[in-house]
Amino acid sequence: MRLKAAFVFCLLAGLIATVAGFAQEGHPLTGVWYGDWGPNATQRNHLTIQMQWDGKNVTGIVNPGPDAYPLKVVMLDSSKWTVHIEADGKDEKGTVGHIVADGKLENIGSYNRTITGTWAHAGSKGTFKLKRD
Amino acid sequence: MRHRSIIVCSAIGLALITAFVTPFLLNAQGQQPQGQGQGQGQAGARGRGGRGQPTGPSKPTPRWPDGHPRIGALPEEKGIWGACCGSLSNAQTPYQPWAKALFDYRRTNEFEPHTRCKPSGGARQFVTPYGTEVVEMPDLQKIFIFDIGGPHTFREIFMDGKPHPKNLVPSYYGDSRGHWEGDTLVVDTLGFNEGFWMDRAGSPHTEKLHFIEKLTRTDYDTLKYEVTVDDPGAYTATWSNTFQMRWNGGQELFEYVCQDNNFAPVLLVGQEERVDRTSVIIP
Repeated sequence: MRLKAAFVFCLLAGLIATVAGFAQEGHPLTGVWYGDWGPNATQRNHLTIQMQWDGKNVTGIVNPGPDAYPLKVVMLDSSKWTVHIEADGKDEKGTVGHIVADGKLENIGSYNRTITGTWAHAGSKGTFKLKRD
Repeated sequence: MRHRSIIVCSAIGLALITAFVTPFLLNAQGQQPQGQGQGQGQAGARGRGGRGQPTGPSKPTPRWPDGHPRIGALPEEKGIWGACCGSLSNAQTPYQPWAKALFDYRRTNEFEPHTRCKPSGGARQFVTPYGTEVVEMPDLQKIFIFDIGGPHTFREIFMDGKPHPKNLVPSYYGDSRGHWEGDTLVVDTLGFNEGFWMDRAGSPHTEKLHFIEKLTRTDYDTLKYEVTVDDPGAYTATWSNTFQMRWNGGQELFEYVCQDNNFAPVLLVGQEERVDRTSVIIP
């Protein structure tokens, strides 16, 4: 019985080691990012951000759909993997204002890399987390 | 009983490593189970996938009846090309800042899509384990390049003189169009996706990548491989490098299916403790 268990364990361990992986791609910001921002853990605003690199600039759009708004500034400092974002848009309560976000790009080698940092919107400040889907 | 379990587990593990990892180790060391051949880049980057130098003078370049060199094997022979160009880039490569940072990151986080059985386009196709086989079909006006140690895929080079289609859907191998310039096969490829590394070292690219390859069989055993990379999304200028591939006579394609019990991620990463394995798995 224990021999069987050991065999199954070894096979499973091998399989897990085999498929543990994730893709790498071109410009690290290109893609669709999902997440949220808010002043605390319970008050969160959904975020969907689509970004693309055109060879010189990163452009993009926040929350594609009726309430979409474009990204005005996206800057990547690849020496520190930090990201600065600016836009003018509204949150889920309809509050319109200027948005300034500063974050850190992490897990760069993963297809599902993340950006986390601070998000300020129309006088309200909080944190945000985005994960590339 | 516990000791027996440990012994059985160890034996199974050793057998698995021996069976599936050894070929990659051989490849990583620039060796193949059989044959010979190795590449040499201008920048001193040695190719992989072959061993030793040919002995004695090489035979002349084989040719088709119309005079063009034969890139593949003659009908009565077997043969493949050993790997060439582990790293296309060098100290002079004109990276954009983000591309250089990403390249440096990949040098210490070698988690390449190829190790998860993704097809590898561009020059990376010539660095897959066990070399590549070129099959020329003049009657179809096509040349096929099979990378043996990959996910059982191939590249198709159209030789019919037609231009690239418009609105290409990005793909791993892109759209390759070839023509002859004297004794040199010039292959122009567009339409790459960003799902692979274009060389083993991890040189980044974007969907703007335009790849120009020049293949010249200078003698029977040597294939000169010149690469020009034009990708304004990742580089500030067009850049080139030159390598050589060696003929491995007597070898041919065999059934290699990467997806079957692939152990490459563990082997090629090498430093498991530095890799974050908490993300969603994308095999």
